Amino acid sequence: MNGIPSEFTVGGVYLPPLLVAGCLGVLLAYWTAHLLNRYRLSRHLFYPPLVFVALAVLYTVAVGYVLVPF
Amino acid sequence: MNKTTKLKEAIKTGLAFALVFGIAMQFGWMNPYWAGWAVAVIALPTAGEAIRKGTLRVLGTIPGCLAALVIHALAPQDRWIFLLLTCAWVFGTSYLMVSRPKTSYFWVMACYVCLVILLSDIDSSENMFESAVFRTVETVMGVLVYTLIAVFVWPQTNLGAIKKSSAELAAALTDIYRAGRDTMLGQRAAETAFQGLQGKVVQKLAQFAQVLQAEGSESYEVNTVRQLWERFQRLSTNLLETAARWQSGLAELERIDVRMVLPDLPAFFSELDFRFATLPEVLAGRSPGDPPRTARLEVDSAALQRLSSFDRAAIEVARKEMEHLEALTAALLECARELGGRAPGTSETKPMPAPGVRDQATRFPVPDWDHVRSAFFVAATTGVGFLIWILFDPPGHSGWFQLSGTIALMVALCPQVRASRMIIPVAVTSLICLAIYVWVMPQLSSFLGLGLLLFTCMFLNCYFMSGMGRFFVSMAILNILQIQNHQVYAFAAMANAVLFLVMAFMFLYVMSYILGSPRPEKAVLRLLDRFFRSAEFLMSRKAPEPEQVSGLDRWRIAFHQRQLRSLPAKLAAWGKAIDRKHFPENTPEQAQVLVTSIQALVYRLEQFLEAGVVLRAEPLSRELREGIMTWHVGLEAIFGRWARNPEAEPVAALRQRLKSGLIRLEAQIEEVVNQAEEDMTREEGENFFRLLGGYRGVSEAALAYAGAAQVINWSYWREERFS
Repeated sequence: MNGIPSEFTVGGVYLPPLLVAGCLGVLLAYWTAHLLNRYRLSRHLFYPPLVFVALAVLYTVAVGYVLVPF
Repeated sequence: MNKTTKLKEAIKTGLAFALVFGIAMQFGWMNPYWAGWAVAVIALPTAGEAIRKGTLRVLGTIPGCLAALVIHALAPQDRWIFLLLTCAWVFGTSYLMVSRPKTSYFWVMACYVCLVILLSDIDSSENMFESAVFRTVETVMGVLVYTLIAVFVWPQTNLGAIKKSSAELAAALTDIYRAGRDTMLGQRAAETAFQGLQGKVVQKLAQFAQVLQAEGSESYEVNTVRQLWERFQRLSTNLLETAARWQSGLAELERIDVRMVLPDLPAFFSELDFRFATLPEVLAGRSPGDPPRTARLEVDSAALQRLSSFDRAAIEVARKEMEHLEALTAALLECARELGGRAPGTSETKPMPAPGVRDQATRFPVPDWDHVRSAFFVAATTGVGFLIWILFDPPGHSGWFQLSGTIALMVALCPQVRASRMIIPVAVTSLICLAIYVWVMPQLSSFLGLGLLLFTCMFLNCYFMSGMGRFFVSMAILNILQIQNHQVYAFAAMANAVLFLVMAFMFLYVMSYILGSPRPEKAVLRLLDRFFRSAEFLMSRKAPEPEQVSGLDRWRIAFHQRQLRSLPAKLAAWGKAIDRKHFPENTPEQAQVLVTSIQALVYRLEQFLEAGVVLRAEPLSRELREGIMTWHVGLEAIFGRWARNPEAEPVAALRQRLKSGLIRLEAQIEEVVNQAEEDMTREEGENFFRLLGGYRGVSEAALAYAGAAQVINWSYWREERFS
């Protein structure tokens, strides 16, 4: 992890790091939303769709910092 | 469909799919997958259904092509006028698509083909006409090839299905009539199993409509008497509605000796029994059937006088519905006799006996609010897709404009199907097709190999998938494999196509918030709000003050009446879509009871409004103005509160208020009727008691709704959650 953006290769196909970080961010946001629904915590939110988008962005940025620099 | 039939159908579709590609490629036609689309979409179990859908596809393609040429001619260099015209066309065709179920597919094609042709060559308009011609030719060819295969290879015919379906419909109508008759004669409890019987008739009516379209496309004999079959269908629908309205008031007759008040009742039911018994025989051609005799339902005035005012009102309401029932069954039997060639047919259009008088006719079109919203959603998605394309140009490029609009059409057609649920199936099927594109297709060197691949893909799709799933797989096969006359392999383009498909469905999901929250429980709350607002408005129009009604008021009344009639079916559809896992406290049965109570409220409101048409300035109602006004304003206020909060009125308190109101009003009525009896004509008396019955019916139905609403945990449905 040197913090320099680098592409991912899957079977010789190059994928941009933002795409990978974005996919991971959406998956993590989806998983968080699932947990919030399960424990009825989402009822405290004003507008969950917007929270989902915010979570996806936050997770994407966090993944960018920690795992996949883009 | 059993496994053998499924296998045969899958083989037929796979064969037609491979064949149309072969023909298009042999002649070097532009975009052979256009013909493949035609086969994938019209592949239906019977030849009649396929012919009908194929015909609509071809006919819809023509206005779509023409609209694209006109739009391009009017706005060749101006992107905003281009966008405006396209969105206007998309809005119009989408509205017609959702509001005209019989020709829905025609309008789907008119919209979709216009978007396809507009973008057939985005660099210039040089090849646009050529594209429109090829699109039409290849659609015709695809339809023709599949039709020939459907007709000659293991044909599945519809012939005779209409007779079978009409006999089943007649049997279901007989059951519903018998249930009402037995309830009225005190032989069974009110509302026992009525919902089940009603659901069965609705199902049989839907089957009949489908069979009529399919066999009408396949059989010349059926097509020549199509008008009569359509009349039979409309009469059956009206009969169902009248039976439901009749049934909704039977609980109020339980403590009345109806045989005393209506001495002709046995003869009346005997005639109706005869008609219902004769109907299936005439439809099957086993009996010529005698023409229906007149059945009258006179009231014994002396027995009627002994009843309380509200019981007299209940008798008047039931009698009116039974007269409608009599007229409808006579018309239905006459129609069946005409179909069997036993009664002289006339070229004139016969009047259709309707369940009730329709008030406040307006010359202006009365749109359905949900249809307008759906059309706006499709137009907005197309417009925003266009802006995304020209401003950001992400992977998918012009597909943001064309494909987003097309998928939005699907969402508008089935609003209960959630766009978010489509994302994963689309991603999986697209990735499988991408793998075929990368590893299998480059190995193919002749049409034999390609044809075999296409046959296998479509065969597996048709054998294992159905409904929306089959559509998605077909979309993946046709969009990702991208078969062209001069095949070029570009992995990046196809990977972008997969990415675009997934992003397009996400975009659709975001845009679906235009229609409101896509959560079904929220949709139910929204519809209930609209329902009670319309009910409140219509009640407010009923103030017993004679007044001039302006053209705008007439239009608003017609609009709210339409809302009232259409909302129970929408509530039922959304109620079924609620995910029970998330709301274990609210059972599906409770939701069903709620919908049933709403439907009963619609019937009672309609009866009330119809009674009011003939009695606005009636002297009797003037005498009772104060009492009636109090009741009237009370009901209006209750509907207003329910619009804001469906559980606003606890049932016990409401029952108590209505009961005390009824006792007070009954005393007033007795006094006024005794004073005015000599001056009152018989018709005036009947109309007055119909109006009274209308008030009581609405009150009883409101109580039933309050009871159904009380057991539902509304706060749970209102809670915010991720959808």
